[in-house]
Amino acid sequence: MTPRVGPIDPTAPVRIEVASQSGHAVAFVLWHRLPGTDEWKKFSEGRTGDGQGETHQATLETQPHAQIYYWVAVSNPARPHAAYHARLTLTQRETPVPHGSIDLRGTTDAAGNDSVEQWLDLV
Amino acid sequence: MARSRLTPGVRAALICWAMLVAATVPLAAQDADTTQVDDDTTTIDDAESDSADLVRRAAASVISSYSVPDMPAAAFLGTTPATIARPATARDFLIGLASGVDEHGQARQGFALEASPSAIVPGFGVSLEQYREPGVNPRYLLANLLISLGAARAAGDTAPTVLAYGVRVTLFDRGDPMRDPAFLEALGDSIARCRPRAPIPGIPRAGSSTGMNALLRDLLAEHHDRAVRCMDSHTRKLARRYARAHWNASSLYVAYAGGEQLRRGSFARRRHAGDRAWATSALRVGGIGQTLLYADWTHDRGDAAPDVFDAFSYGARFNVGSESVNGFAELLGQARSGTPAGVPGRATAWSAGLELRAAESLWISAGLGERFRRTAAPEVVAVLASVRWGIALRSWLSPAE
Repeated sequence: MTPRVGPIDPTAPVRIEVASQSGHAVAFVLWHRLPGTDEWKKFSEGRTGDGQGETHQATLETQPHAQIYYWVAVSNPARPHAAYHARLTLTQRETPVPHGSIDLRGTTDAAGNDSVEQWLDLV
Repeated sequence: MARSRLTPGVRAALICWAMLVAATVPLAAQDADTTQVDDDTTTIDDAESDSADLVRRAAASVISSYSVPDMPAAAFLGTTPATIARPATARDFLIGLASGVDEHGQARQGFALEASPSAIVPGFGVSLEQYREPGVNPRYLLANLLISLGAARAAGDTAPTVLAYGVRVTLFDRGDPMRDPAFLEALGDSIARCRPRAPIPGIPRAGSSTGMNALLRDLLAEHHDRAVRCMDSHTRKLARRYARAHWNASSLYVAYAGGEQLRRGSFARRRHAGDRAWATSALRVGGIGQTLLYADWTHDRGDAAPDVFDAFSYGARFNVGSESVNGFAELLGQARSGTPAGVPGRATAWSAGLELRAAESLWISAGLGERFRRTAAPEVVAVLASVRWGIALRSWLSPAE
């Protein structure tokens, strides 16, 4: 089931935050697709250690029926087979977007890594 | 197993030969190998020789004897669980607990669970920033706290099931890469290299009646596997280099496990089986030395009062050299109560020698003392490979898969 996030107010930008809640390094990429088009455009990427701090932020001008595709990777080589928790949070005008808090949970592999990718339908 | 009968002279020549061969193994070449651990292990496993068997057994023996166990409950039981449940949420934790009990309310054999409270208890999450706070840091302790549960039954139809519970915590570790900004920057860069170039094809537009289908699920799984393989390759190499550069970092680990005997698997008919506690500490000595301390206390209640005993094992070891070659001296000892008449209640042993890292997780040792005495027996090939004390080569350097 594709997560549906919104309602989105098309007059205000959407801010997206990506953060690890479990002591893992993260890397992420975000793409955006406008309604009625097939093209995905990358609008943000980041990683631990890129100087942006622990909570990475991106801003996007969008509208209902657009889509966001995310890839989030987590890593902690010091703790293999460990539970992880990362979170994507969408806000508009400093207010959380309904259903806009996406928890990414799982267990890393023997090398301490995992990745998640999925898309969101904005409504 | 075929055994070689060797004279002392031939044994000494073999040791020298083995160390020379090992010295020709270029460490840089190992670094360049992106699947080092697996490949190195495979190379050893493929060597169908008795000496390789001896090496493996000796290495395993040393690992199990000289490190705080990753899973104390399993160490208490003396088992290696085939499957370990590692819940990522409180809900998964409860489901995992429930899986340890069968339909009759009895403990299920082979059950094993390991969990981090910081992951499963809401509000206990530890961010990287909190993890890296210097000084006395309760969040660091919380993030490195692991609890474990397991159940096993000894051989025999009437043997009771033993339910074990354990806890393991890292009190501090100066060699923890996740507190090093330079390592984190390199780690972030490494995993970012594995990002996909584009989303998977064929994603239905928003509002479409077509949802996730089998093809899209397969494509997502393929993307995931590719990215994780790429990350594994990069991060293992990175972590291994970091550990080598910090081989003598100071650290302190402690663990405890206890157990209950359950007659016929019933929780109502339980009896305390015993306790066991471990502690290992490493102290950095300048740039080229390290002191290791080890303690292991066991309280075993046995099946009846006459079987009760306590045992305290301890060890101290000094390494001097580098991450690939060093000299060492160690003193090991054990004090034990409840020993039969005529059996000494305490014993000590020492050894000293040289170690050379021949390959990942494989050390060739040559020296004197108790540790080498058994290899001097005429029926044993006189090459003992030992993995350095577990505290120095942790599981994350050579993950068990």
